[in-house]
Amino acid sequence: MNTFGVWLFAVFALSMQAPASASPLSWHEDKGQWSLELNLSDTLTAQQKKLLFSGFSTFSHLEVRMPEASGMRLLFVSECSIQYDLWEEKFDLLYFLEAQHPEKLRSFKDYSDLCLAAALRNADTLRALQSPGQHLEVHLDIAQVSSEFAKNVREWLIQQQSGMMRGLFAHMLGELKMKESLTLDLSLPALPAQRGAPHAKP
Amino acid sequence: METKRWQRRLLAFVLSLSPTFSLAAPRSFVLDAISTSGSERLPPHFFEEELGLHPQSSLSPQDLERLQTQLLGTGLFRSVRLYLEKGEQPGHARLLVELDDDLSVLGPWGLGAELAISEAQLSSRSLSPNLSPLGVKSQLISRNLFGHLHRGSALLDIDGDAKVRGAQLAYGFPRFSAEDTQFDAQIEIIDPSTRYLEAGAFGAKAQALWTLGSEGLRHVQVGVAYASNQNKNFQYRDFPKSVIGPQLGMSVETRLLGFRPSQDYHLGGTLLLTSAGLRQMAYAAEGAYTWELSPHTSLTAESQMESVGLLSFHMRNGLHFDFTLPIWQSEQDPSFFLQALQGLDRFENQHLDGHEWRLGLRLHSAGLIAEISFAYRDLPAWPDGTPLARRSP
Repeated sequence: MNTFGVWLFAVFALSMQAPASASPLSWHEDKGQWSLELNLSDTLTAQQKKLLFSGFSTFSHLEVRMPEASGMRLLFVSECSIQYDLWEEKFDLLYFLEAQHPEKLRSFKDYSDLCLAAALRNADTLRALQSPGQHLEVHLDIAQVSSEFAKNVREWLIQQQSGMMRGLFAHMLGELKMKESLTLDLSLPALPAQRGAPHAKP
Repeated sequence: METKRWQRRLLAFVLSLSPTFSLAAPRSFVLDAISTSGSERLPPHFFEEELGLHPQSSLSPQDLERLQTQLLGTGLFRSVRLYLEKGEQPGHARLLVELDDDLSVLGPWGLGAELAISEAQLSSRSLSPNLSPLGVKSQLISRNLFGHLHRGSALLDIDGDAKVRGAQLAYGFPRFSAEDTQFDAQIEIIDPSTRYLEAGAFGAKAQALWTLGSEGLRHVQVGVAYASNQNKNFQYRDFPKSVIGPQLGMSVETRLLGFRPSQDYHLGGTLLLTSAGLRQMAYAAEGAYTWELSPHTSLTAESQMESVGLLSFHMRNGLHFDFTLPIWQSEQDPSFFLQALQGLDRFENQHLDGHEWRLGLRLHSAGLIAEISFAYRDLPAWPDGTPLARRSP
């Protein structure tokens, strides 16, 4: 294949690539009140999605943070435990960090709207987020076991180091992998030019 | 019966008041089949024979949680994930076990190896042509001997003249994490005249002990022990050449002793009972504490004491400072260490006191640990000035 052919193939290959997935962040306006909403349902890794449908109780921990001069500022945190019922093909909510959501889950959408979503409404925060170069860090852990369970397993490993077999775990490099993690560094979408939008302070 | 139904209704009503919890979970199912993927460290029949996962058996979520902890507790896997697939009939399911091998141990037997090379400079007062300054220590350890979770360890310490100066062999019965009893046996031989700081009162020891987990991380050990002091350089009047008897012990270990021990402590004590009475009983105590000073530095202080009868006292103390070089910012980063060791022996009017400073580098990659170190060693001399390794009987 000559050079022109290679370039032609590269241009064709690039044009056939799937379009970049939509940002999980979007602006919403309700009765003059603006909010920045996040939903990770389309951003989950294949392994995270597989765990959610495993038929076993699955724990999720979502954090949204914003970098500041003094470090990372935590803006939102959410925790859920759910279990997918194979036979009835629905999600059961076992635990939710915030008590004010009495919804019953049925579908994956119900689950993602409750556990994989965040809404930022504080006007000062929204203004700060529009500073030039500002971004959000989103971190989602999905695990089949709770952190308490992971702590117990670690204790059992320690128990196995009786005096005589002390070198048994000397070759262990790190901790057990108990969770599937996803970290996203997200730039804010452009704010629709509307009245009442929370513009950054000059 | 009627009361029970009424109680159940009340419970359901109370739980329905809580918006955050529901009665979702426990649902038993009949196991149609089990399949595993991701690892060949345990034989296929293991799940059925050892874990009792027979087709057509009824399993509860608690059974599966126990399975997950048992598999993680072998130390062979980094992760254990369970997936259910709907079976052919209602209430039936197929279980998929997805394992992720811990690559820091090698092969199906879960092997790890360590090679340590040291060069020592001896102080002038103990300098002896009998001592080779070079030491090569190699250890092979397995968490999954024969592919059936037996545990074993072999250590060989040879000097630059190819003479064996120390050896250790240990074996442990298969054990799952959820069980609280284990059996270990160990034989250890050390030449105290060249490896003074690694030997206590006895140059050879053999132990076979049952370890019973009593509460949390505390253990009680019960078994039989044999200790021997056949080296003529180290025989004192009234000091036993060998002792044998039942051994009792208790220990607490709260650190995970990985390549870098986690912060916490160890305490332990043993008593070797002999028929010769208090005068020849062996008492031992040990303690250690590890501080994580920063993400890259740690300090471990260790002390071991041993006493035979009421006349002799033997002590080994150590300080180990570890500094990790953040080259790759990963668990495989090498570390420098500086170690100070002290040995102390008292028996009536005999006194031995030795020291060592050691600077070394440790590397860890794919189940292999390599260590190279340089030591300045001040071995003790006998009161008449004879070097430790040259005293005639």
